[in-house]
Amino acid sequence: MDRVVTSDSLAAKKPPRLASGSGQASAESPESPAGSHVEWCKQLIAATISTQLSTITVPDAVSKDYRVFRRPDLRVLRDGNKLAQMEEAPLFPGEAITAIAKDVTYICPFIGAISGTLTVTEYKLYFKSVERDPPFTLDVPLGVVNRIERIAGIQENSCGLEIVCKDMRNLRFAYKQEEHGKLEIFENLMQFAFPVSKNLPLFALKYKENYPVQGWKVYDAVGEYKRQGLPNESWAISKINSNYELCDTYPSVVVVPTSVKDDDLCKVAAFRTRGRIPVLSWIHPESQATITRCSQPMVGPNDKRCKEDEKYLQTIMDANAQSHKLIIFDARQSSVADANKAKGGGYESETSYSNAELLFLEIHNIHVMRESLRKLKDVVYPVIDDSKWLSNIDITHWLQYIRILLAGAVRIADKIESAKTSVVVHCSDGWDRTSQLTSLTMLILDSYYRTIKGFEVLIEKEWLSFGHRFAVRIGHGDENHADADRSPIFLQFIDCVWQMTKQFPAAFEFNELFLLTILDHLYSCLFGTFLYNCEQQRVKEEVQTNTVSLWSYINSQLEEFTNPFYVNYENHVLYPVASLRHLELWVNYYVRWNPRMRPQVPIHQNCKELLSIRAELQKKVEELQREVSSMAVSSSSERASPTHSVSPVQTTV
Amino acid sequence: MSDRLVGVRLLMGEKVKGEARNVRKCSFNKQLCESIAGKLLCTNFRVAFVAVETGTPQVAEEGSLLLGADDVALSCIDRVVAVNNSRTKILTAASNLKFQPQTLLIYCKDFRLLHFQFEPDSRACEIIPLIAQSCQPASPRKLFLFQYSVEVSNDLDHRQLNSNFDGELYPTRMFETQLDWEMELARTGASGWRVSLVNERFEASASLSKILVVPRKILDLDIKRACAHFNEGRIPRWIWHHRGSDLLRMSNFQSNTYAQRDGLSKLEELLYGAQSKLVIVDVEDELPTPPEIQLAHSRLKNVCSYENCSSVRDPDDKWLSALEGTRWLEAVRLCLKKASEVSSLLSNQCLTVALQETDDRDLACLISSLVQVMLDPYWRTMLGFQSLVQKEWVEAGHRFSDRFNHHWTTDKDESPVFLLFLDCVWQLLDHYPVSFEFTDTYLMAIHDSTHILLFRTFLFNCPRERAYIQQTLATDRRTRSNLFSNGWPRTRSTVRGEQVVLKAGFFTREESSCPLPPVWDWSLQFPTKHQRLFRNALYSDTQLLAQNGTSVHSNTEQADAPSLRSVHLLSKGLLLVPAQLLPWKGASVAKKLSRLSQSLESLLEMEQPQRIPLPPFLDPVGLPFPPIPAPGLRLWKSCYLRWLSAGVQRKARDGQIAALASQIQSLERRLRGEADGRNAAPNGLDRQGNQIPHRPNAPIPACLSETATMETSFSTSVSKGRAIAADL
Repeated sequence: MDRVVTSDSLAAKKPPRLASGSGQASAESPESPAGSHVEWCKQLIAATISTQLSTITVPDAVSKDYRVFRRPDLRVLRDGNKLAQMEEAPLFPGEAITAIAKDVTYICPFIGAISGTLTVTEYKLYFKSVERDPPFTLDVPLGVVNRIERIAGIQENSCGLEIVCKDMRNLRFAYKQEEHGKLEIFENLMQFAFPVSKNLPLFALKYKENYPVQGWKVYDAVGEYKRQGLPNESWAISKINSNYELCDTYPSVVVVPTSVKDDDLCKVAAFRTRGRIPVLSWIHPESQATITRCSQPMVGPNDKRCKEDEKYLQTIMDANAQSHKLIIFDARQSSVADANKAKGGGYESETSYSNAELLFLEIHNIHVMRESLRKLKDVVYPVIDDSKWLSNIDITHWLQYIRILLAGAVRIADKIESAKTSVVVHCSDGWDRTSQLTSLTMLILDSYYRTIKGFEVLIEKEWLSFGHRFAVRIGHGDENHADADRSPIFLQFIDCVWQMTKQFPAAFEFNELFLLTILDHLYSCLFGTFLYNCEQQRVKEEVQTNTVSLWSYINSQLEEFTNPFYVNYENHVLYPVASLRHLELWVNYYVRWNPRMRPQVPIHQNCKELLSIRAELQKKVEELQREVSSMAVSSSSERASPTHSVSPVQTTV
Repeated sequence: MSDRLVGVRLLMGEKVKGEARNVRKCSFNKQLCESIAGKLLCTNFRVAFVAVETGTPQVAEEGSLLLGADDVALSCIDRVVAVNNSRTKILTAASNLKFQPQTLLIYCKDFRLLHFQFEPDSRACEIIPLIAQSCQPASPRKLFLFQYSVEVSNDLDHRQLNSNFDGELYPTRMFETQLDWEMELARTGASGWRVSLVNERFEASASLSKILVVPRKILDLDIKRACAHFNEGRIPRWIWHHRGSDLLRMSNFQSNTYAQRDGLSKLEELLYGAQSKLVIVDVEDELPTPPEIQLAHSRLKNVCSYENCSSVRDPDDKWLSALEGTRWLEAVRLCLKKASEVSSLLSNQCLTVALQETDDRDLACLISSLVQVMLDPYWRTMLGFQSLVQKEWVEAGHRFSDRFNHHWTTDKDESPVFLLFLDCVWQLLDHYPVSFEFTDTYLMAIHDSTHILLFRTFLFNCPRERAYIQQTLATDRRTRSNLFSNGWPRTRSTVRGEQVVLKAGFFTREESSCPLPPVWDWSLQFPTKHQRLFRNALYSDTQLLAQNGTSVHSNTEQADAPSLRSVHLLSKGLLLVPAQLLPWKGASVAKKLSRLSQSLESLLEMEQPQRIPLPPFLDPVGLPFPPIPAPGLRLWKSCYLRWLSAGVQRKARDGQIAALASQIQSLERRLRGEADGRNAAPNGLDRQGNQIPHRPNAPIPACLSETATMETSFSTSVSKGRAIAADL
């Protein structure tokens, strides 16, 4: 992350005691609950939000204020300079420097060439230059690296390094070739950016930090189903997959209809791709209409049927007394579904599944999405063509795909809420588009998932436990950058959530920083949350004991991630407007590296201030009241009855 | 006529001209067509729909006192279209309807579309030609405004008599008087300028205001002479001062006139003003022309129109390209960029920056006011902003009447330059929500008021035209003054009890007998509750402090030494050295450096050492509002797309903040009450002085942790407007 450590820029975001840059934070903030890393991460994220400000530090209202009134905080500045002199990287405990190269030139596409020191650690790439004032810093977790290429020297003795990142930017360095140290840099980068390919452990396994909140406890499958009112007479929490034998990519705890026998479940599993049988994701608290998810049936070109599967879906329909229909949403394009049928997959025919209605949501596959994001990156980084900005965005189709996804989720939610009909959602394998759709639908229908805790549960449940293949889709520590299985499916989901927060700014407990943090640590490999492909693998690798959960970090400082406008719209169904007119490109994420894109002044900051002013005033009013009444008591003679009690200030939020 | 019979709250002087029963008004929600039965009314002010079920006028959700939710002012109607199965016809005042229409479509200037259906074979559709005629008055004098104002003026007189005047209560500076300009000179700290009444009778320039600010050392006689050398006599004149630099506006040179050597040197004096360095900014350079702005706006209207938004068949996948195709946002971007360039010039050192435009009545207004909004926090308060519009648009002679085509005289001059300005301000507000005292809602109120012709603000082409009309109105009124008695319209009754006061001395003596109210008297349009939404509760005024302390001393002495003078032209982001300052023979030639365009850095190196070099151009450090790149610009959806859907939640949030602010206010009042109570107590501690020090301008964030300054810190953010007004 490019950022400039100056007292001004940091003071804008943090109290001055944190302004001294990362290394000093631990010494200066002993009262901080989670220690230096929290502070460091906060700064990291703050820098993320404020985009790469390079020389252009924010003169927004707050920092300006500091510039005027808090200038004489020289201690901080001096410390910063000392640190800068050394151009040294701040480290996590457990993080070791593996290579340092001096006189490396960073070729910044916005401000030109900067010469400084490049440090590679097991976790990150760190570049710092004191050539500029304030010092220029670049701090990139190696997890975001997609590809590293050596560029042969244009001049004889120099050579270049191009680092293509997963988070919408590329980095270029140039260095002199003859020095031995420099070769080391490349080798080290290759090694620690792609540890999986080199048979090395990911940094998340070495990262040891004790957060006051244990994030791995956020999600408890049985507890979540209990919250939904399960088990009930129609649905049971089944142990059939407790050893991941029925389906290795499903969680150990699944909810299936009570009346279906385990033998039949096995037969259904044999009929569904990868054994991903229809299981319950969510149940409507009133109508009992359900969202069930699964993979495609293996109908094949010969229209194979499976009586158990047909009966199974009939049972799902019967579990909801409100409707005599079952809607099956196939997320794919109908043409693609047909092609899949020829290859042994397929979809439920309405003749064999009586009372079922099949609808296609026409969502493109993972390859289309990957290509769309690639085009988007070309549009936003590094050069933006101002006069063609909107049409260039149009050409990438990124927002069109977001629209289709949201429209699909709205259709599903509408069937459940308005028609009180149970739905089955699947695509091919049921772990990409299906996860997107079910989780978005649940977000529309259930206000619980719009809280911070609830959203974490949603990700743990619909994405992690149901086997969205994060390791494959992101390519954690894998050098095979051209892998056709990579795709920004989860990013698309977070983008959809962001669109919803834009349309309903008061309905979500979390803020934009929360979403940005999730995306940053999707790639960073600092936390264990998004590692591996499914629950079975995570259990086998003992992720919960060996790594730290992202939720530990987030839940230890909820304040940072809370939306001050939040009003709990309980039982409100929020239908986002799935029209391009009401969608926007998430500029604060996709264009954040461009220094011309200064962040919009976060009004939630001011709102928080208003809230705290009110709290203070309230306190003061009470204090004064108490004082007045006590004075009244003391000044009057003892005969006066001391019944003049303090009336509390009534306020409503 | 009784309101109950009509079903609409009529304004004073408003008369129903036609009525149609059995009409259905269609509205489209979530692709469902719903229709309500009712009657359609056409008055001399509005077209109104009264639903039959309620029988009472619908209460406007926006809280407007003038118009109901289903009403549209005649002056806001853009097009009247009659449709039956096979035919569609756009109706003008002159056209005859040769078929029986089933549907009436009214396209409004604020992008709304009203859709009415008629029963077949009913006579109701006779109202259609009436609407078409009414919304295109044959002459400007037929505008409802003039009937309204004659009637209203009596009532205003009434108010004037009954209320004791306090200028502070209505402190928008109208810049119609000498005093306002003198105050502005004093406020900005400009020196070397004086207020001149040379144009008092509009003889020097017909389109300028009566009051001009010119260099102190130039006589009125020379100014009158100079007028001949500028289009429409719009000479270079002082507008604003910032950190030692002066901002001037002028029209293009009349190069076909003959100027004597002596006159030329006076012209130069006029141009350099109080400084020795002059930068001339051609505001037409790189910016869209008014016809292009009009084209962009009508395209925008088209892509935001209901037809293009509602079709289910065709998902709006090409929306962004279509939006870009309008080139509206591009116009916004270019204006903001230009304004940023000018503001970086102004904030760097002592310069005279002169904005030049062919007739100095469109883009110069826009750029000049944007620059001032960007650099001076005063203009970002509500009163400041209103004063700015007065100063840079109304009094500077922006042709509101022609640009909005109020009189349907000719389409070719129509161009919403002012709406483009509002959009630019909205973009700034969107990016810097804490820097503005007003909200989105307030900008929308101004936006919509441009289409309601009851106020003098957006009605005239120049101050001279206003003066003329007001005089005629005064005559009209004198002849009718005895006919009158029934007081304010019913809608006023809610507001009446509150103190609504017009500033004394609002009108010059000969006009005062017939005041057309300015749009800034918001209580004429909105109830107090709605006006509360105009104020941004998140506004914090720290920038105001930062700026006031750092005024640079202007070096007027240097200006007197012509040898040190320099002149540059700003063009395409570069400063060029012109061959000649003035286009006439015999004018002094600027120093020959190079005629090649050069970047400022290279210019800097070439500069002779004794000159103070210009700073690197477009240095965004210290600029409060650097140019916003395309990804940062957004469509003003809450304005342009408000008739379609959504936007409800956003309002909820604003309301939430407003509620929070009012809670704080009441707590604060309570705190004062308690503190007073404590002091009144017999053995009250004398702590209050220490505890709540009087620091009227303490910034919020700095003292958040200190309970002590809480009260004062809050009062700055909420009652700031008042504080500033008092300071001035």
